[in-house]
Amino acid sequence: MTFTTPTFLVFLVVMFATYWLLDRKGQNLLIFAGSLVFYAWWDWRFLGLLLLSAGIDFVVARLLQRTTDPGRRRAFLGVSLASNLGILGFFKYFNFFVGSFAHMLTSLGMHADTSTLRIILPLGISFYTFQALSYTIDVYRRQLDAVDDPVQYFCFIAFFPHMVSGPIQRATHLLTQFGKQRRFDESDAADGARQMLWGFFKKMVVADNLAPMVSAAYSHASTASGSELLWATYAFAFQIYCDFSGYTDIAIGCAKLFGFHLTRNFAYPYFSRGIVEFWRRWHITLSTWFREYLYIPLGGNRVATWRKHLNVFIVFVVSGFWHGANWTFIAWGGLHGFFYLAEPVIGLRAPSRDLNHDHARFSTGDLLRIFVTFQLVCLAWIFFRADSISSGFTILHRIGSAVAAGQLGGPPRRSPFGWVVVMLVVEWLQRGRPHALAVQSWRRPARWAAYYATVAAILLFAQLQFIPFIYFQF
Amino acid sequence: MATESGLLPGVPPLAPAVLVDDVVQRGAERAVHSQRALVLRWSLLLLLFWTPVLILATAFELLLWRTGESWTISRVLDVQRRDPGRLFLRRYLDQGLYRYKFLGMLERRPAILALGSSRVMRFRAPMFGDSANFYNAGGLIQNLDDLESFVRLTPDTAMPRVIILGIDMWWLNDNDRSPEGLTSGIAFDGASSWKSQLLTAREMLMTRGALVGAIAAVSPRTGAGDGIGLAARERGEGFRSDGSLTSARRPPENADWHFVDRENPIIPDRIRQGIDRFEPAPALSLARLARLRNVLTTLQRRGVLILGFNPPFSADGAAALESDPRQRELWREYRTGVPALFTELGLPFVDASTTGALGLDDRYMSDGFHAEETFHLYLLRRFAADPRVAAALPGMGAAVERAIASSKTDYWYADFPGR
Repeated sequence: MTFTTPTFLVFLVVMFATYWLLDRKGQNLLIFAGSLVFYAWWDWRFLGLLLLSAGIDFVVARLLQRTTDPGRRRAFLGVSLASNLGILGFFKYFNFFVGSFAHMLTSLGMHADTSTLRIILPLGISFYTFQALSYTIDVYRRQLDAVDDPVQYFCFIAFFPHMVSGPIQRATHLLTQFGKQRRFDESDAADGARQMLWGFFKKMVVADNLAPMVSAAYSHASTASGSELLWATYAFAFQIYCDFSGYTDIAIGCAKLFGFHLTRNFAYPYFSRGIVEFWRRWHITLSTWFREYLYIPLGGNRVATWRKHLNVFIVFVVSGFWHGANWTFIAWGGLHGFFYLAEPVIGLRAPSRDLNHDHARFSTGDLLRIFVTFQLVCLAWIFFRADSISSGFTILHRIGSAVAAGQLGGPPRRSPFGWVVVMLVVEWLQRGRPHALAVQSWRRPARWAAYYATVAAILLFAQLQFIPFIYFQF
Repeated sequence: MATESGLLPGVPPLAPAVLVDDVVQRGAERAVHSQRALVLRWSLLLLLFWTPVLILATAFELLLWRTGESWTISRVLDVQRRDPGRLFLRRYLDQGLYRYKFLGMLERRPAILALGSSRVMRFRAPMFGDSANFYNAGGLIQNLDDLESFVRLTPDTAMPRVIILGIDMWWLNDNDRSPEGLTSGIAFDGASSWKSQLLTAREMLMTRGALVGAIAAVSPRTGAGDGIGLAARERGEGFRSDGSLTSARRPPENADWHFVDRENPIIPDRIRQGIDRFEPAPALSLARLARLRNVLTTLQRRGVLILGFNPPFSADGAAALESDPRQRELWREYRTGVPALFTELGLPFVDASTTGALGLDDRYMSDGFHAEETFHLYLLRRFAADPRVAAALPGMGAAVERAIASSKTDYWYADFPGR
């Protein structure tokens, strides 16, 4: 089931109407059942995998809780890591490793008789695996007590708003909410509905209208002009942002309707004044996960400078690989790692400011930094979106040649960049708020006018061709 | 519930445990009730917000329904069966041509079927005699894939005895990549699709005068017809119950008339640009010709007599095909290879690829590659000269001659009851 289908709206209404009639345990059971239906709507065959993965971690965490022997605790954690990463590795990376190995042997002049499997990637596997890992690791670190209610645990793993594409929640944040009585809060629910509306706008009006333009240029990378590829790259930058942050807004808003608060995942990343800041604003929950469970265990900041830089680079490369089994994602991660480390050297680093105070005035220097940061991010997006590394270089070369020859034109006529401008203006004006439609302080007529304008834009201009959320493939 | 009485506000310190439990219970119930009241209040506010949108959507749906634009294809066929005089043509909602024609054919189980693209839509039931069981499935076949699907999907019980098959040049062009649409098209009805309804609403809102026109089309004062669908009501044109298409445009009348190609872009330009079904090709595709042969022999085995013809191009269109080196060979082989195939299989064929081939001119065409009703009379007259056809369609010759001889038959419309 996808957020942008009428089926989901019906599902949501039924869930909402039933949910608030029940007590806490009933609510958890309803979320459990609803999440199963939500997931099975896509492919019921992978429900077993989801339940198995969740079941292993539930049992392992219970064993970790009861055991004090460090050796046995390490062994139990090893079981959790092996099962989670094993499942993820098989479904997501098996063919990549086999293919890469065969390619390597061939390039060494050896014949490789390998075969790959036709493996379907289970929806949301990268997200729920990471979430499950965070639980067992936190229990292992004794930062969290294992829960004894399997329903509560499954709800944490598979809570339908966020199970497919996040935001990735830490157990310390979300799991505990399932153990408490939820109270319906009108202002929270209203804010959730507002955030969902903005998410739908970003996904259906901006991202989905940009998608055909991006596909057209990137699927003909060798014949498209440099100008077309440049505009398609800019279009992709906004497509992926509006697609993914749109999903996140819908997920967070939807969770609020049920009395849950999910962690923020985006904080207007394209207004970042440097790459370091960009990573504090883009896919925040994944960055946090990697910091907590990879960067710090690698030594974090408490090691020699060269080792710290190596750790940062490793985190970025792994983060790229997390997105998909393709060298293009590794290149994307590597590029960001390089930019991140090079930033202090080239003087792009912005003055440190709290993200919550970003409504402060931006100086001309800040605007310039935003522009340069955006160009660097777009440069990396080329590899993220390209079919292969060589295709990425072809695109880069064609854009470079067009720039050098002064053959760059404006955006294509009738392109949906107008909606990008609308989105950017609204988000710029609202950048001090948690989401762009956080207008609760406005008077009701103005507020409702804003809602109706957004609804009208969706009804009149949303792309009706079904385009799946980009992050579903990860 | 074990509770220390003094801890609860409003409960006397020495109250019995039972009373305390009662108070706690009532408090919890009150909390639940107030919670539900909050949810209800908020839901009502949400409903209030959506009410204007729902009212507008309902009003729009009612308007579409009144015009017949949003009737399902099944309902349209049902109404046309009961009232054969009513035309059907949607204007904004997806036309559902595949479904309309295929279900119409299955329902009527015709003995004679006109089959092909929009270029065969002008054959009419009266052309085959008064009691002919005829159906026009023009528009059902856009390419060879559709034709193969048609043969596969049509049950023996609905397979006609005679098929008049208009074969378009692009069916035999390897560079024509038009997709098969029949299988999914049969299953799809825009009237049952929220996406189609939304697209219709958008188009009507963006088209100047569309909503006013729709309101006028259902107003008794404007005297709009009883057609089904906005185009049928507003323009008085559409599909008759026999599947044939009628238009409301006026035919050429006076001496200073000159041909106007209403296609956009006009056919000669499409040929020169090599677009929209005129993708350049070095020659006729032998593979596709073999597939056509397979279809024909399959139909023959199922007891069908197939009458083949090449639908016509205007003089400008034909000249463009002759003169363009990227089209010339395909055009030549199309006009020789297809008739040769029919001859080889012992099937009747008439080359009607230009109006001149039947001794006519562009006055019989409504655009660069669509001939009108009267042209088809002359085409059938050619077929009637073939004894195999005359035997299979005994009423056709006389009906055609009568219509051609009538002074009421003009360049476009034949003298048959009910235009």
